[in-house]
Amino acid sequence: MKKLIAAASVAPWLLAAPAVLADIEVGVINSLSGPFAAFGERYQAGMEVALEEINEGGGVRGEPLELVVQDDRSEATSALAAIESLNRQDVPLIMGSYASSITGPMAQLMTRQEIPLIVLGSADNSITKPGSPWVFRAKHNSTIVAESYFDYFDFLREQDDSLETVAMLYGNGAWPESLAEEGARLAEERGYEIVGDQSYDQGTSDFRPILNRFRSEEPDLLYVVAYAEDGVAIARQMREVNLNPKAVAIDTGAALPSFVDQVGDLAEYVATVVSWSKDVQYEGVEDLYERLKAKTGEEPTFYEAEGYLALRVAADALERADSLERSDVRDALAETDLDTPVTHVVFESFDGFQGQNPIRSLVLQIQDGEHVTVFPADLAAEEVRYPTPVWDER
Amino acid sequence: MKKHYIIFAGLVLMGIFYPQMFPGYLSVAITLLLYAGWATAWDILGGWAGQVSLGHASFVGLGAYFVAVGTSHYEIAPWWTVLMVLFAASLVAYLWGRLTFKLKGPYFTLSTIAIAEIFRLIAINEGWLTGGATGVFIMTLPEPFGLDLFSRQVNYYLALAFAAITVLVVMLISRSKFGYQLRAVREDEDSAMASGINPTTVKLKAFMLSGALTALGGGIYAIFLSFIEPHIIFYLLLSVQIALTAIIGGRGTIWGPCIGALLVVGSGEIFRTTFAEANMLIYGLLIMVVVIFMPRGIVGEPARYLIRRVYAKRAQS
Repeated sequence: MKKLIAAASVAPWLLAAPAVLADIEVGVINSLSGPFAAFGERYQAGMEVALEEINEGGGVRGEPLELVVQDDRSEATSALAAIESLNRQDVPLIMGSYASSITGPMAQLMTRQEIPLIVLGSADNSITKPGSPWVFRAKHNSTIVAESYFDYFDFLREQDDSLETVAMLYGNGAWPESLAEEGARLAEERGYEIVGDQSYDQGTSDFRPILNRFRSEEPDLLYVVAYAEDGVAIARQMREVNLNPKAVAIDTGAALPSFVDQVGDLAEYVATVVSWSKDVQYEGVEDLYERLKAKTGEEPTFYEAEGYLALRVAADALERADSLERSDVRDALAETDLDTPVTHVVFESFDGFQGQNPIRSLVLQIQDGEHVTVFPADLAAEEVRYPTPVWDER
Repeated sequence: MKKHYIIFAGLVLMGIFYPQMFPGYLSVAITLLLYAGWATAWDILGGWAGQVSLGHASFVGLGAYFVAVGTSHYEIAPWWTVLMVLFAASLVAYLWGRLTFKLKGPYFTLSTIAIAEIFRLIAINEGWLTGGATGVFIMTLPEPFGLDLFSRQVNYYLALAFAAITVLVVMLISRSKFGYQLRAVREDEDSAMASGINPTTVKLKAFMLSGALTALGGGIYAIFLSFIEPHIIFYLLLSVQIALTAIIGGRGTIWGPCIGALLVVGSGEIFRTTFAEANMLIYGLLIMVVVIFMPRGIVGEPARYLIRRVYAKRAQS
């Protein structure tokens, strides 16, 4: 017992040993273990690709850049401890994390401690609305994603003015709920009639009762927000109950390559919004795609791209900042105007948001087993396939 | 018993000076103190009364939500919401216990999981009441006597006070008539009844006390995180972590839950920074080692050994 107390009281001293500062160090708080590790690893791979690129190009301010990575174990309390730990190492800024339940408390603490935060994965509106002068997000949020879906629906309506009704189906997590909320607002604003509005407890496997009810309403559009397995089950069961909307959008679940593997032919015509795709018409996309693929050994997704993007933004701000003081880095971040193969980045205040990049999200459609960018038109790689044929004719 | 009070005073004194000694390690300490308090509060019901609950996250959530929703939706200061939640949590525990204390052993435990799930679903789906699945931010808090309640120091002393209060309550209980009643009920309900104890009343009292104290910690937790999401805070995993902390340390002992918190939170933090992705694996192994070699917990096992020796000596003389 005495030994235990002695060990416990000595341990923090050992950890507090001052780190030798040689390179420019950037803090990263990422979910590398626990339930979000699958996503955390993808972000990590993206950041590593960006790090190699930056250091091959001469680093930042003539010094090599280095990542100081701390695992948050997919828990907010560990992330807060990690902030303190990185704060002791005097990092000029921190990037993190995947889930909003972790990133929310991080944003609050870092605003109070005046440390610049570049959001890595969390897309929840609440992180940048109202936001703070210390929090920056280069990727999208719930409002931007929901608007992308409805811009896409409007685009389809230009071809077919009979599109009127929409049914919404979404999990009861933070992200699906906020997308549904924004979806309902936009549907009303743009003159769509909501004929179905159903949330489900995440982990549900049988959606047939809900889909059957939807079928009797014959919605023109189906707007689904579901994570991986739920999205797969919904796509399969739509066929089983013979639900035939003219266009189907499934957020999150349908965005991963594994969705096509698991759902097969039934995945055709499904649309999904992402922040990046390998066929988007930005400069350097193919090169980035090859490097991400070489790093992970599998098909890269928008997760890796967002990790890459976050570090590119960080390096750019550190390069331009007057000094590595946090307030200077913050000012540099606020003035960001950066072109990357993922997207263009500026941080603006609009519609109640602060430090948010008004990113142009992409609508992908699954065509012949591939995710293909179909909207917005100037970034698209292929024409959209519309309308979705009824199941009996496929 | 006197030595327990001396240890207690010593620890509290150490706790008071900790922020001056380790100002850069407050988040870990706050987490540790919260878990120590929660596990100790859990142990009143789970250890002393022998009713294992896997639904204590409900009380954490109740406390957190009262404070968070109170300040952000209704502008009620946290000290009032904390008072309200002490009452509310006792009431919830009373009703919950009334409903489920007829069930014995594992059936009671299962029922706690079910009821906790109801709370989680309410928090997620009743947006008008709780802010819904997207969670609640605490953006501003009043500043009593110029104290910034968001600052880590203030959070730390709140957590320290919370842990100290729960431990003190357990110390007082352990030598009180109520404490002996709890143990009697735990060992054998029928015999306890035969000696004039009403097991349901005793268990209800323990549950109410345990629930109210857990909710108190939940309120501090909300201020500490300043952003809460129902999925995380009402999650079964949190209930299991609280129970596990007490079980590893030693159920039905005064210091067991605190030692459990030191081990679980402390080792979690050390492994997080030193073993990277493997930290969960090592954490799991550690728990297995404790469970296999010290089934009564880290404090429970040696305490039992000491008590046996005392009795053996008495029998010899």
